[in-house]
Amino acid sequence: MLDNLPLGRYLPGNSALHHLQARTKLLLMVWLVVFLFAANRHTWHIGAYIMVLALLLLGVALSRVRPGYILRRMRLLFLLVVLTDIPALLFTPGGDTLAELGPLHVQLGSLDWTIGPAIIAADGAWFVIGFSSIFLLLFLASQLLALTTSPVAVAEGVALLLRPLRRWRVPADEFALMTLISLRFLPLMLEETNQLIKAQQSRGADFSKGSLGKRSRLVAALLVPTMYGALRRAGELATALESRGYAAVASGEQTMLYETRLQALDYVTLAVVLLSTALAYLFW
Amino acid sequence: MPIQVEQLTYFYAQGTPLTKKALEEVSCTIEDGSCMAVIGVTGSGKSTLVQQFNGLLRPTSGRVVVNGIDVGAKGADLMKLRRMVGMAFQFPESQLFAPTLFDDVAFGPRQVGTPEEKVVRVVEEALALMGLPKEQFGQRSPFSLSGGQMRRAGLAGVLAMEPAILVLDEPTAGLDGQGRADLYAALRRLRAEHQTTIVLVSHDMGEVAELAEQVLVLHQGRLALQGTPRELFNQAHVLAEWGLEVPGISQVGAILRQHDIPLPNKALALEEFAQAILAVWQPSTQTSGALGDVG
Amino acid sequence: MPTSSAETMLVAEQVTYRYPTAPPDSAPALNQVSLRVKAGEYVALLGHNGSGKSTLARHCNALLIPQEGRVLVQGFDTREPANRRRVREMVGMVFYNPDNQVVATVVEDDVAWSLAARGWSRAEIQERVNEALAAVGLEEQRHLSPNSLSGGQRQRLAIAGVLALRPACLMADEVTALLDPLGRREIQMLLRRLNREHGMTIVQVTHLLEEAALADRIVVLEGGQVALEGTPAEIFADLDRLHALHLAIPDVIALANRLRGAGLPIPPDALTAQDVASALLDFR
Repeated sequence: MLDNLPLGRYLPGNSALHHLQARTKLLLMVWLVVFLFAANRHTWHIGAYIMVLALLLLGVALSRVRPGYILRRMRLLFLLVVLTDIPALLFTPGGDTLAELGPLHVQLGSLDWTIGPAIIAADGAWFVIGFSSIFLLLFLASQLLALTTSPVAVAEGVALLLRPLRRWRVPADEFALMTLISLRFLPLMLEETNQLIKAQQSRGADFSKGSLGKRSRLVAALLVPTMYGALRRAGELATALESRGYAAVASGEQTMLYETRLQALDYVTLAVVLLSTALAYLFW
Repeated sequence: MPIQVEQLTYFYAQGTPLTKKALEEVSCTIEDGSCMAVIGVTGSGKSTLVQQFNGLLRPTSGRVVVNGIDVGAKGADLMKLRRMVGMAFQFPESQLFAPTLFDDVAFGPRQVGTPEEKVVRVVEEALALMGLPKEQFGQRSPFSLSGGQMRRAGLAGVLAMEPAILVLDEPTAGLDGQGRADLYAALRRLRAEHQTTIVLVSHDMGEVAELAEQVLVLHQGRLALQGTPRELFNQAHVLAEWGLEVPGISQVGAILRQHDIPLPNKALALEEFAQAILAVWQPSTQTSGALGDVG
Repeated sequence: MPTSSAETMLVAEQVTYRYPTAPPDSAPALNQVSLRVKAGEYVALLGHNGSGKSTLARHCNALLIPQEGRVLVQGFDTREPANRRRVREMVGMVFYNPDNQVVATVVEDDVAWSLAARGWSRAEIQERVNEALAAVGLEEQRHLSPNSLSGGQRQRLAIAGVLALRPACLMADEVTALLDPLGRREIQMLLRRLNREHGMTIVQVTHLLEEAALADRIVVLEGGQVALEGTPAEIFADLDRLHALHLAIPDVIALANRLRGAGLPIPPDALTAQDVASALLDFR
């Protein structure tokens, strides 16, 4: 289950998407977040989502990553979105009534309940469609970014984008290092957590039932070792970085291994995405 | 009832582009109360094999039957299976979490609703087996122990479930000499007092010679060899091809035999082997009594 | 001014160190330890867990600073903060867990990354990366993810990351502890080759007599003090003493000792199965 998370799974390749500068991809990612949330204001303004979906599908095609591979990694999120959608759909009032379910009568011996009627209102429906679309689209976008960009390139992109903010004491290089370290270590730590769950299960932990006391012990049995392990790993990593001389030189100017000047491809991509989304927002 | 493995094949991530064959047509039987070592280099499939024994993984094809429970069958009672088969993963000390060692070891029994007076008894016993007597260690924080003690504390947490079968995945990885010696002593105590069946995953032949009666050698997911440590250690060159190293004295024996020195084939213990060499090199000074000891 | 002698790589003089987190009444981790390592030498620091060997190693590249006494690396005193960057470039340190030393998710990126942080040119980085990967034999794996490497290969990658800084001395702290026999042999051969062919000074911290047997000289630590010092042949002459120091005697060495005791002419420097067998065959 944890294998499906989008983190740190870079598939080296030679596609147009791989050739884009990490900065371009990061900027587009930020733009999509802003744009998708802004587009949600107008009820039934669905054109924005369709346009983003089209762009992302084009991206998938250009990246030459097998669509099935991406789809498989999104299954968990689909499930989550559907599970949260159902109550939101039924219990968000406001707007026209689109459908009425029930009321449902349940008779059990002498007991008699009436459930509902459940009303699906316009606002609720739009809320569900809007937010589900935003989450799924952003997740797809982040998949594309992770699969086609080396984490070192991502870190360099972060550093370059944040550098102008250094005059306000934003620690750009530290953020970049943090990005790199999380991209490398989150998958490892997820794997360890997976192993820990198995281990505690093997000594009797049952995650499906139990009293409050048992459950709180269960939480401790997962949380404490995870934190302990993470702290130890962090300590060892810090020592290794220090002995490789990182702390001594981090203040100097770093050489970029991946990032160069923005190329024509980057400008074209930025222009196409910005224009097409803006047009979709205004006229559709 | 023993562990029976018949024609076991296992694929990782079946039905995805990342499918990988981890085990192929492995068959073996592990008798009650015995200690079976499963050896092979990293990636040979040894961890995959033993995770079938408590249902963490289930066969792609073939059968694994543990004490009468068919692990692959629909509706197999996995909870019962897991109570029966204690699984100690690599670095069991990384499972420790409770403020005191007693509470940590009691975690499993309490989770399955064992009455508290029995909890006290099984925890005390598990700690004693692992050489960490409750009076001395019970109220200490598990994080204040030495590396070797933490390892045994982690194992005590598995033993508190009173498993009939104990699976150990590289139990001495990263321990120093003293830590190893203490752990071997604890495992011998466990076998003597409880006749627990032990499945030992290892790549350390010294450890295998120390503990196991039977050895399975896995190579690229297939069962490559099976036999007693004595039988296997005579095939130093074969094992070397699979990236495995026999103990030093077996290597000496292998080289000498290549030069046609007539050594008894199955010497394993140091003194026994030294006597065999002295019998060849100093036949005149050997007393018959010393030779008789070789048996 | 530091006076550097061509022959001496590092000197520890009467070093005492107590971890700040240790209980105040406990014995210090290092107690008046002195050590001298010549340039080009291969020294093993041997001891069981908690003997102080890793603490001493960490003093040699200024990860720890002596509370009493001093450590000089090619004449540079580690107590002087201005010297520490140099000291860390001269003494590269590798640790037991390769996973916690490798930061990037592509092999060559990881070697390049700490050079890039120093702001060197891409051409120079390229050259050093090639050189370091060649030295550890990972040229063919340069585009792979560290996760797809074997344990031994990952540890070789960690060593390459340090070699890229062209240190004069390599400090290997229990680098084989998590490896299988194959990985162990790989690393052991690499350390020997770096010493013999590249003239690199090697200090290997280990609890295994088998590994220490391959060094030019062994320093045994116990309770934060030097307990024994000498060539492997000298050290292995007194097995009772080693046993008392909680060190596991390799069966080959025990065998050699037993046969020597019975009057067979096994030379004291026969420390491997091959040596002992050859000695026996020669005598016959």
